Amino acid sequence: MLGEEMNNHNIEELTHETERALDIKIVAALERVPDVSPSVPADFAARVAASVPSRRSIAAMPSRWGRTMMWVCLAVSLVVLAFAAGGRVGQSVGVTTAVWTLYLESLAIAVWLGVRRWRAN
Amino acid sequence: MSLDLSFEQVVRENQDMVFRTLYRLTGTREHLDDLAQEVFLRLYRALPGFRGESLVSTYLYRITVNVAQNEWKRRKRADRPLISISDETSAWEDRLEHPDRNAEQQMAEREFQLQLEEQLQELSNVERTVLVLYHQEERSYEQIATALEMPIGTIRTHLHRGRKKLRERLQAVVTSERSMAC
Repeated sequence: MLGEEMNNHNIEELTHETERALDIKIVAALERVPDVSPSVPADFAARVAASVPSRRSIAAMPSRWGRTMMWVCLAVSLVVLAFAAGGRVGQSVGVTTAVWTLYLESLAIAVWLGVRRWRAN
Repeated sequence: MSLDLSFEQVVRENQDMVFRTLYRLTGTREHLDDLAQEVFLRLYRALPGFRGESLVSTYLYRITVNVAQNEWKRRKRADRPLISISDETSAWEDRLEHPDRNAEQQMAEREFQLQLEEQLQELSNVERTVLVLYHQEERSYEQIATALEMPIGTIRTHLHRGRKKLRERLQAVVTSERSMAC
């Protein structure tokens, strides 16, 4: 081996090539899909479907109590706001404006709901 | 009734994917049936909230990975050693046998496959999961990121790191085997 020098470039290239070849082998092995068909029972899907609880449809009944309470609350708030708006003399402009705004808003909601109900009937 | 029938179809269409992913993630055929059943039961519970077919498949991968993670935790708690996939060679043997190849080549491939499966089980859970979903299931980075609820950059890192670890470990195994043979 006299006069023979180690060629680092060749060694590096060889190492790279070996790594590349190993990478290809690894990817090929990873991509190989295992055959699990013997592990899957023939009736697996049917068994799973039979084991799940059956879904019952939920009956959605509109609540009359809720609607009645809504109308009652709306009526009460309208009365209270009307009383507050036309009540004491000498309250500030800001309070009067706020009360009237709320009163008109509540009135608009009441009219809108009333019209909707009338149209539904 | 129709929901149960369509659910049975969903199970039938996806059962192979769930079984093979669980098999590779857990490294054993033990409890595979029970684990797969758990996956589909969880899917059934979540089905009413779904709006599209693509979401179901992505969610199915997420459930499968979660069930596999629970299994790893259960084994850890029970302090049971992982059963090596090499003890159950039939799944790979059937696939590797090819009439055109000679016996020696087949033997070498089989041995390499088993070594890879063993080393795969030595990786961290997330690295193994990303490798299986990317290479075996051919999922995209985006799909894996959605299934694992991780950023795409993290998925790329785990994939790169997992492959590097596998290469280094397999290289070490090959080197040690060669030195023993000499």
